[in-house]
Amino acid sequence: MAINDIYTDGIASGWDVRDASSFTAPTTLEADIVIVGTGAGGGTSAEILANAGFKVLLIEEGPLKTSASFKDMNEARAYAELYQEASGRTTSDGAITVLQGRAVGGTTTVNWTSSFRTPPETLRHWAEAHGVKGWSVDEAKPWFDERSERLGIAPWGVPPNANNAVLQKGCEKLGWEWHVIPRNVRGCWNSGYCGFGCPVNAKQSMLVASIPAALAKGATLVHHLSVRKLQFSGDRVTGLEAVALDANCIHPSGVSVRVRAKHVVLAGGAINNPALLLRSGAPDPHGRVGKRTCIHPVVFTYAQMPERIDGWYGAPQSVASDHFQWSGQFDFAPGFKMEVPPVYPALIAALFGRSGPELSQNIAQLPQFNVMLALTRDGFHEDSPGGEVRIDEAGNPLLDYEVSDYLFRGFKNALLRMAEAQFAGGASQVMAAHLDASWSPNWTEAKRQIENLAYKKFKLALGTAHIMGGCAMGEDARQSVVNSEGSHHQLQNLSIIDGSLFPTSIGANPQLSIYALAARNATRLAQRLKPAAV
Amino acid sequence: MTPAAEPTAFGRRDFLKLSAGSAALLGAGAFTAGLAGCAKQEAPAAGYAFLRAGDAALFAAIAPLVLADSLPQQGRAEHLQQLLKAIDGTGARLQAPTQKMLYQLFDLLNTGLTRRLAAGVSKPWAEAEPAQIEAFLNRWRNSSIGLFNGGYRALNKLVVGNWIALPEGLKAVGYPGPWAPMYSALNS
Repeated sequence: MAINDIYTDGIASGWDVRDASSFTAPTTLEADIVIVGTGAGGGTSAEILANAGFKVLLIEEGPLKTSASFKDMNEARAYAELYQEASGRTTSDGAITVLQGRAVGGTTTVNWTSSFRTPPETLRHWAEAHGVKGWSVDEAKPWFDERSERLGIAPWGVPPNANNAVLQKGCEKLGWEWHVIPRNVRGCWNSGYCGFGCPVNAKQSMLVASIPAALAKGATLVHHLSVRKLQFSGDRVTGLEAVALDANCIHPSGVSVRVRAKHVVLAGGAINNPALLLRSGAPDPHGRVGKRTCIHPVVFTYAQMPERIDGWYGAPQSVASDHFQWSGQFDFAPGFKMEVPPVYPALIAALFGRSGPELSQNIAQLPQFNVMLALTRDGFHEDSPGGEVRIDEAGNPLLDYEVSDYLFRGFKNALLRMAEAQFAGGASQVMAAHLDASWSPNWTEAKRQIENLAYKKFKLALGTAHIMGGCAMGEDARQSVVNSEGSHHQLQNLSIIDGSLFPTSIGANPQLSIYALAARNATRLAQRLKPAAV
Repeated sequence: MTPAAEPTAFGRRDFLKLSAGSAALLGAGAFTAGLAGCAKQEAPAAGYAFLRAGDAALFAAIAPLVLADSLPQQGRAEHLQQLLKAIDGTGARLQAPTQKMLYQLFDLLNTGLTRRLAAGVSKPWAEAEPAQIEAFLNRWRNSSIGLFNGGYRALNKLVVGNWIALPEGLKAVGYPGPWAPMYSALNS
């Protein structure tokens, strides 16, 4: 059966979509509002601003890949074409793997669809500790309601796959809190291939939902275009310097592009936004750009189940537990949210970190693997201040991230609780994702082993798929880059609208936190600018 | 780290001394290149976009030891070639800072002196004994020095992540293929 390709049909109906790799001569593009980045922040902003009547230009460094190219359901193709650095991005020392999208739709094109509202504890902390105004639990609620409605976000109504069921069963047996994860899907086939690009347009990513809506309202999308610098005059951004990329989206093609717009929205994420501001020498009188770049550091445990569970099939994430997230000794160690990753073959085999027969014999059992993960809450304690984005001499972004003893204590707690849940959920053997770990046949042995592991970078497998902050919002310009609505403190016609605004990590997968805040900020921006007046 | 896991040619104290020196080199690739006295601004090998000739030889040597039975004996040369191309494709898509970090690692392993000291491998990779390669992988995995663990993780991830994404690698992990009800509906 053929699935209509939204973009083939849209372009045929007159959408203005341009591939900068095909540009042969220097070009100048103009718009009322230019949005740099097409992920959760940029896509949402584009839809709202185009609906409000502005001439919107969306710029994306990555390629436009659509359902037609996702129907091979192939992991290798996905990493090469849809992820930052082919999924090989890491922190600057190589210790933490960073999974981030790089395509039209940004990370929303490849994420696993988990869609949580920002936890009330996080919103209260932002107001109290970071001077964020106007984004309290009550003020944010209508925006979460509206975006949930728009993107089909609802708790997953189908029983969890066997991989998620281990977490559910473990929590039930241990009397721990667990909940069904809300997902942004319509007409989902429950295949599990969200991470490779949804081949049936069920995931309501920006690629499928908001960007097509913006294009239908006359927005322009230019992909394969990398913005290198902002230009300034006084307190205004006067233009953008960009370079077209080659067809493979790796090297500059040699064609330069200038962009002029009355207002500029940065939505390139928590690594690329600070890097662009730093490359451009943007005003930063208090040295806040790139600071407090928070992540959810993730640790993992593997379990062997007594039977085949095929953890690669079925909605990747449908069950989560906050049992250790908001109650605990947080002066001692951070809280964490427990979930499972999909058992995508290359992803999990590469994480495994073994060689020789120990590798081949273990990964031959992948059909029986359950894998659990814990997202650690970053940015809520003085010993968890996040990392820092800086640029190298060529202007490339680097994320420096130190792991404190405070965080390592949280990782140990998380490994223990995940192992306990896996045994309670029926596992026959459990092992922490750590170079020195081995399979334990029961919880007592696993506990003894995990308590005695060396808690060090590289020994412990660390990853993250959530980069937040680095352009923090707040009312105090000494502590933040933009105000509570995303307007830059020093540059009048510059807004930042995406996850780089967050003063801390979220404590849950962040896409809906970005959608709701972006919807509010873009709506306020539209009210402030008024189409006729720009 | 247990003494038995260390190079037999050295005593424990010597190895630790050398390890610390090698760790410093691993963190200073430019110095490594300078020490080796060879131009490491070398271009990628013919047909490659990222791997230089020595890097390809390194991966060709270690991949069979990393993958063991996940790499079928039959058609091994062809599989290895596919794997090198896949590693090269991934490397080419890395940004400059990540590429630089990897080239530093490869330089360390491809320079005679540091290869012997840090990896304990006495001959160039193409001629290295499997037992020495295996010992090198174990030593870097088990080392208490983070930079060696990091080097091990980087090599392992490039080999395993790229191989298991290829058709023969997917067979080795028992993956039945793309979820059939959807795949057949979309590709019929």
